[in-house]
Amino acid sequence: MSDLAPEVGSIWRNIAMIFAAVVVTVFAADFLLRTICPPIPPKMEFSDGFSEFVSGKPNALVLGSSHARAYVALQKKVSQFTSGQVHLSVLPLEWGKLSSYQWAIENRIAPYLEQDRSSANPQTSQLRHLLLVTEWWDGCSPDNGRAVNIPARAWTLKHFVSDVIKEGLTDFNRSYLTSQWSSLWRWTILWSDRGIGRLPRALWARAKGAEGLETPESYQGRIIWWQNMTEGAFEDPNCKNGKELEALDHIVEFTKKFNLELTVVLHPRMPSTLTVTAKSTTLNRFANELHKRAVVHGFRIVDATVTSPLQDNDFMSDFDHVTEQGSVTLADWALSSGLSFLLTLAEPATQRHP
Amino acid sequence: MNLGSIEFFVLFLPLGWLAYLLVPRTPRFQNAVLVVLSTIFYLSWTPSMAWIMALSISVNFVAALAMERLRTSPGKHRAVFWAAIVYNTGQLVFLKYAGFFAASLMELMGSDSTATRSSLHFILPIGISFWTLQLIAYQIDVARGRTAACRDFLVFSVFVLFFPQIPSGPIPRPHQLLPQLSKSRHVEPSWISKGAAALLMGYCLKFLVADGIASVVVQPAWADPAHHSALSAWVGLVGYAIQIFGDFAGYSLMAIGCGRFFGIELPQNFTVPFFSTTMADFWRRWHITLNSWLFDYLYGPLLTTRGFFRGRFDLGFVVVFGLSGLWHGASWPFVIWGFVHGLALAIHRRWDERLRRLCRTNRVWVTRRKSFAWKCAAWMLTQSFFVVSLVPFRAQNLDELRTFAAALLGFSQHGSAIYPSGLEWAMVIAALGVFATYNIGGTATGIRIWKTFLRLPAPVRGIGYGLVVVMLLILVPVGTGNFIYAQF
Repeated sequence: MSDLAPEVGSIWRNIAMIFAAVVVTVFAADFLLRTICPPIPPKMEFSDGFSEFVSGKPNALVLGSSHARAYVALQKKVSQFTSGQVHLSVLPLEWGKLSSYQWAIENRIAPYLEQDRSSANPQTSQLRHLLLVTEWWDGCSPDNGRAVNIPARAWTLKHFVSDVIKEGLTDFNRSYLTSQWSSLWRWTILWSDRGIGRLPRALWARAKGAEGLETPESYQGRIIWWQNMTEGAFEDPNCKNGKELEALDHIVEFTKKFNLELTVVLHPRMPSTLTVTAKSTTLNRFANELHKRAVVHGFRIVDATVTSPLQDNDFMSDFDHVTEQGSVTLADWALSSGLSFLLTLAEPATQRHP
Repeated sequence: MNLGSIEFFVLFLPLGWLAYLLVPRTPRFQNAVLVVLSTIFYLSWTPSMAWIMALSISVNFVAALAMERLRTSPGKHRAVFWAAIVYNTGQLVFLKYAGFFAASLMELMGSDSTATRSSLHFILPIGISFWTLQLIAYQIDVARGRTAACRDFLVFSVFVLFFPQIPSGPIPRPHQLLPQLSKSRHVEPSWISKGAAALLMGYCLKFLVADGIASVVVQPAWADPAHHSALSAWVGLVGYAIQIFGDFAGYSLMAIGCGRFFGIELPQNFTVPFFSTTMADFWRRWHITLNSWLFDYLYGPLLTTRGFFRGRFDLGFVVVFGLSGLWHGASWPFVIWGFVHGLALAIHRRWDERLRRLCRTNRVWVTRRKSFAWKCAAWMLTQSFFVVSLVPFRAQNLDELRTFAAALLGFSQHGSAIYPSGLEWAMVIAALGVFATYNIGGTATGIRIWKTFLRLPAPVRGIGYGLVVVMLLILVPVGTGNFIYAQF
């Protein structure tokens, strides 16, 4: 045994050295890679929007999926045109669907409003409008029945603990842990870029030039993928079952309860990704469902799906999200058409736009 | 929580390992830690089904002890044995297949089976297909006197519950695991380094190879086969073969690596199956613990005991592989998959017999059989058959099977291709590089290179491992990682 002891000790030392070398290599690589591709500043998330909503005195609330981030430009324009008198709070709930918005309203927004409005000096007394940014995809229920984005994007620790007690540690509630862990490493490029893919693209561009990132065939292939996906949704049971639209009914109840006017904004889609068939089937069905409810409940619909002035180059390379410049174009168009009433909110509440 | 999840790597494994190192080095304490860890791991999957697992452990523990005590009374001994087998099999059949069998029966009678299927669709306890086979093997071994019944409930609980093997195996035999668990384990530094290497390679196979190839070529081709060209369908199919290998071999390596951290050696589950030149050889290298189980506990007894199957080797293959297909999932495409493999083994057996006869009569056939061209043809035939047989394995239902088969034959409606970008191709190449590294590692040259690497100074090896970690961080998205075999 005594002969073996030094050998075992040296093996432990070797393991410690290997571990140290791994850690040093990873952090050194991260340092070098940050010079090629610096981490992007964190995107605005639901929690950021919610903090702003709680600390400000908003006149209108903009709630939507990641697409809602495009309405930060609208927020700025409205503030600019009204000399800061009208304030919009933007709540982007990444990967949101109608049921996710319902969850956020019932579990985050409504409890806050109730608490605030019962206080002596309510912060939200000016709040009169809810702009719900949506599109056909939000009307398709998630495969497992639960919108997977909620834990990562809208939960607090309290929600996580109560779900774990009820369900055990599931793929669904694990995403809360994953997002919390990831937020600790936002400053590194190796961790913050996982799943985003900027770093591999930057490395590729450095090695081969930007051309190889997207060939005409792969570009066209992705367009076709979007077209097929949008057309295919017409027959998708998840999109036909109408479950998500029930969430809209709950959202309408919420607006009535808190005396808010609801405006449903159908967010623009990239023109090339929509075929005539997609427009007349998937998109048309969703818009019709909204219009039927609008008649019953009296809410406003601004349909920007294909009527906005946005062109293909106003969309990001994911063909889904609007670029910064596109967001400004969209804001200008919206304020000169369906959302012009936002500019009138500076007037006394009694003279609000009908 | 699975072996690739963040909470596993960041919390569960380090804290569990620390606890394991800190308790007194006796089997009782070490097994107690493993039972606690495995219970936490198990509860993180299907907490509502934990009672089924607890009941199974208790019933099998008591049954084996009773069998051993009743060895002098053959009738009672046999009754307890069969009761244990029926209990284990019945539990699996009821939970996993009740809906499938009832719905198939109703469809045969022309009735609507949707309600039946959903009313008999149960949440499956995680890994039930794996640990049921493990428990059946235990009962058979105890009944035949190959293994003594375990008298320590803690040891037996770890034997069944040991967390790395729970979701997807490997399926250890009693003689492989019980003796290890009955002794105290010293966590040797060499085991840590071997465990870490297996864990890293497993992680690469799963997250770089399987998930990388799946997202770039497999999912696009399978998502909408009616819209894809024959070439795209073939790329998607070959990609799926690599994906499923990476997924399952990766998981097995990760489980083996985790086991080594606790001083426990789990059995190997894969030995470079893509080098096989016959289907029989292939199944000796792919999912080894399942296939050896099937041959030792099903095929062997079926053909050697007196009865209809005695000596009917070919029919035995078809039946055993049909059951293997059903084991993989309660759907007809899986049964078809198993059936074609059974048939292939039967055909191969007959061909092999004929070839041996030819070799005995004419030495030219021996030369031919040893030639490079012959080996290439045999390899090509074996691997092509395996790849094509994955169509029913991957298909969710018979309609999808038909549509994908049509796309493979060029009968799709639109015939467009999948167009990965240059960067995506680069990622596929990186994945194939890892896949090739794993396979080369199974050759003499690969072993020599690995030994050379291990002789390098520790910091140099650390830099090598660190670069692999960097590659994983660059190419593997966060939050991925469901294992295909965890659903079986």
